[in-house]
Amino acid sequence: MFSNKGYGWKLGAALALIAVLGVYAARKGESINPPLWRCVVEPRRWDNTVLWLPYARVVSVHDAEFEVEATDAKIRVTGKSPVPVGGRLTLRGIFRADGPRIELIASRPLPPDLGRRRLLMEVVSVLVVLIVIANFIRHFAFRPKVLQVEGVD
Amino acid sequence: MPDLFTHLVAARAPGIFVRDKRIQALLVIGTFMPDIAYKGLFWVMQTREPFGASTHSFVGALLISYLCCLFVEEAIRKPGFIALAAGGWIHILVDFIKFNLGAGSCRPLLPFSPAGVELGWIDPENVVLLIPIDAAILAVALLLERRFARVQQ
Repeated sequence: MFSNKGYGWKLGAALALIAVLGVYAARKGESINPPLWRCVVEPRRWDNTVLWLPYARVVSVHDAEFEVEATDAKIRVTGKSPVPVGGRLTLRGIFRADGPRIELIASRPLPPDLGRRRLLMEVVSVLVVLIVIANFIRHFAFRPKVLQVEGVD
Repeated sequence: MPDLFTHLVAARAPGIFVRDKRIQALLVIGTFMPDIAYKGLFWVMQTREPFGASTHSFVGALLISYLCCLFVEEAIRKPGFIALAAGGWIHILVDFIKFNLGAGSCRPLLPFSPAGVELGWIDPENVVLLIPIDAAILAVALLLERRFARVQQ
């Protein structure tokens, strides 16, 4: 399994299995958290589907419902908005074709400084990747001089 | 994904028990593999989100680890595979801590189940708060590693 025998076949089989798993996951997971715009375009198809909107902006607030904008689509949400108009939130709910609308299950306001937090996380992540790659190269880089010295020894 | 620093620390801390620095480097790279594969599929190959979800499953991590281990020399291929797979599994376990309102932070049981799983310990927007804790854990781990190395000498 780990030898060089049939190396090409092993490489091909691993790639094929990863592709098959991806296709299978795509088919199985198609109905899980579909993008909002797909639900709005085909409401009957996605009726009663549980949706999760990671980022949504509140466009308007009424007594028992509010309207949000996410992934280039707007939709009414039945329930109380945790943030005022213009605020951002993440929410989970059941998509209903009549309306169409979302029946709120849970929501959480997003912090106003989300952009700065994400930027800090991304900067740290990029630095970490650079350090890890440098460490990896240090241990795995092909260094003919080192080999020559080891050969002499 | 939480920030890559958290992923790095989660793999580097147990990595102090790995003597071979190359295997240790593979363990750390292994913890980034699910994200590298996912981002590669999403941004480079332009696949849909459900296709890439397979990279954050236990079976997917094993397959990616096997594919990657074929690119290291035959002598360390088997321990390399174990290190890469362990890193990948650590990545998935670390992803569990996120709270996505019950939607699941990843689908670890693919292809057997497409269900999302999460422990819901921390909001994804707040993972930046883990950075000081991560730094403290990493400092302790590196200190212990140095001490172990002295004892061995």
